[in-house]
Amino acid sequence: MPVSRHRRRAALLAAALALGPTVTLAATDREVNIYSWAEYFPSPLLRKFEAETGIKVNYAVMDSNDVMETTLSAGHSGFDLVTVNASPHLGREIPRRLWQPLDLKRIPNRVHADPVILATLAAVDPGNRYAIPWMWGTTGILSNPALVAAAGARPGLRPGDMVFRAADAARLADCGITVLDSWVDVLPMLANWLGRPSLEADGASLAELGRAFAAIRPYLRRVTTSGYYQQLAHGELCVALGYSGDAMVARRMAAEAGRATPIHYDYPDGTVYVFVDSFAIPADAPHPEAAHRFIDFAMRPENAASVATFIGFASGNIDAIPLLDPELQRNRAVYPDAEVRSRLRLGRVYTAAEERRFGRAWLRMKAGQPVGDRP
Amino acid sequence: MIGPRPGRGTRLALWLPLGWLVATIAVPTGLVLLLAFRRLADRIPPVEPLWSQAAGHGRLNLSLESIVAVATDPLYAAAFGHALANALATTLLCVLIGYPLAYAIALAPARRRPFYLLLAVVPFWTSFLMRTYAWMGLLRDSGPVNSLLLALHLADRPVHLLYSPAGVLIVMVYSYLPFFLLPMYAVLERLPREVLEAAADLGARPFYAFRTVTLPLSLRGLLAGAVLVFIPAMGEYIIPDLVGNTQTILIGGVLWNEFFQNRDWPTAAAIALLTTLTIALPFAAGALLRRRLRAA
Repeated sequence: MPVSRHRRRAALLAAALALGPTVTLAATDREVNIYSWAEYFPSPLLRKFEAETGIKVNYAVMDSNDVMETTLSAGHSGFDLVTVNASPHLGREIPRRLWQPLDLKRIPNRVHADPVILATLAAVDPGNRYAIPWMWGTTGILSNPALVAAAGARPGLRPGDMVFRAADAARLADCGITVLDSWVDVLPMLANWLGRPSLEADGASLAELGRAFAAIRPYLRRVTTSGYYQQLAHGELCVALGYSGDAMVARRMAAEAGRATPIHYDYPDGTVYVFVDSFAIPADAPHPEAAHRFIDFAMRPENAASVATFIGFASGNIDAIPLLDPELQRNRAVYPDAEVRSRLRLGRVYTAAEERRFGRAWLRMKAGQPVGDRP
Repeated sequence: MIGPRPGRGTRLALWLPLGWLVATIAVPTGLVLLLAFRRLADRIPPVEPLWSQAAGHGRLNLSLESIVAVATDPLYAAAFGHALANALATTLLCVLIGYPLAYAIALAPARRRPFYLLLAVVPFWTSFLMRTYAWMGLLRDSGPVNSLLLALHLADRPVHLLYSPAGVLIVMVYSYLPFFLLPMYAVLERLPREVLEAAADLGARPFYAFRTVTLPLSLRGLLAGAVLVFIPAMGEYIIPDLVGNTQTILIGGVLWNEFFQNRDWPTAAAIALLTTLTIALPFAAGALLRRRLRAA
């Protein structure tokens, strides 16, 4: 009957419109949809890949791991390849089947992956089945030593004390302290500073963290993940709890502004938390074949080295490091020595309920409200 | 109905915007409303299916959990209070700055008015984010505003304007002022001058005439402008995030946090729902009251 056929065609059209790119592009892997940080794949590298393979790269710039995760968990994102933070974002989504296991036969260049980083990654990706490290870095203490000394800080001050010990933070408050606006980074470091073996979400542990944070909260200029490196470079801050990569950015900005201020980057005592941005392929990727080819291409040591030189993060590709500028290779803020490497650890993967407890506790800490077990 | 039956074209012209409103406002609002009553689940998407089959019985999975949690947790109340205070301060300053400005433009010679209005609109030609970043450069410790304060000996050390509540207010008022200025101007410009002249003839001093004639006649524009500023200011997320000190938690930021960091969609939807209701109810009550008064 013509009517029902019409109706069916309308329904098909509606379905095609709703599913859009995911359905219509599935036929041939002539393109790959990458979702990653702005500077992780500079356009000359993408052009080189396109010229070699004839596969067109569509590049969506990621602005946060949380937004990326939300985008993917809504389903039908159309993305083929993402660079995802290993813990918690990659780890917690493996059991939820958000990712597909990598076909390592199709990625011969995986042999260049840094074995120490792979071993660290295995904490959230047992057997390294889902992810290959691309860039990594650490969370530590950035500081402007001249301003810290001028503020009258006691000599021999441990990096963690500058931020977490109230008496020391009070002296530095005037010249400015910031911490990252991210409990995933700050709370494990605070627990480590308090001497706890790991971060726990029970009421007593949260209350202890809450009291420790409340003691330093009056001395914090800002709780932020953006712009603090710029303030450091401008001499508007003394100390920041931040990322090693941002320490490099702050140094570059200070140099560009013609300032002689050195920016120190120090590892905290005890556990040094590491972030590993890793290649992973979403389970519903429309072009998994092209995604595998791209990973193999990027893991070629000369390609990985060109990006590591460009952004100054630590490369997850061990064979790319000898190709770097010797000065960058010796940079201990980027490539820590063996002693620090032995202390590297990935934050554990928390359950969804624990995460919400931490997330809300963090909001309360920032707002200056009590946390955890209330009397 | 008065006049001829509307033609096909007219009906189409009416249905199109209605369809647009349904598709872009009613449907998303309905989805958010529904989401607020759903339960969190460890799946993709992270909510329980609306309808589940268990032991041969169909079950509709709806709950009040998220609504109750948001309504009773002091965290959300504090965030709402901060956002309210911030929006009210922004609205008040926009009125205090915008009213005289609109009045001055309305009193200017007719041929100059378009130029003044253009000056108010020109900033819209640049992206909102770009303008916010420009303000960040102006307000920072080593920026031009502080250089000026130091040079004029109004301060002996840089004033922390960027990343402070004062900085947020400055940028908020800057960003929202045109939304007050334009409706205010539209009303003031149409005020008949003769009324003021009559007031003067009858012996009213300028301020008295303003208070008893101009202000009541322009109240409608003032209210419209204030509402246009207040409602978006209440949910403002970007300016406090970029310019604020992030220790003052605003409801927009809390909502973002619940949705993206905690991935708790029902709680995020419950915040959106309760915020909308808290803002919309007084306005609806006000409108209803006005209609009653007019009818009486």
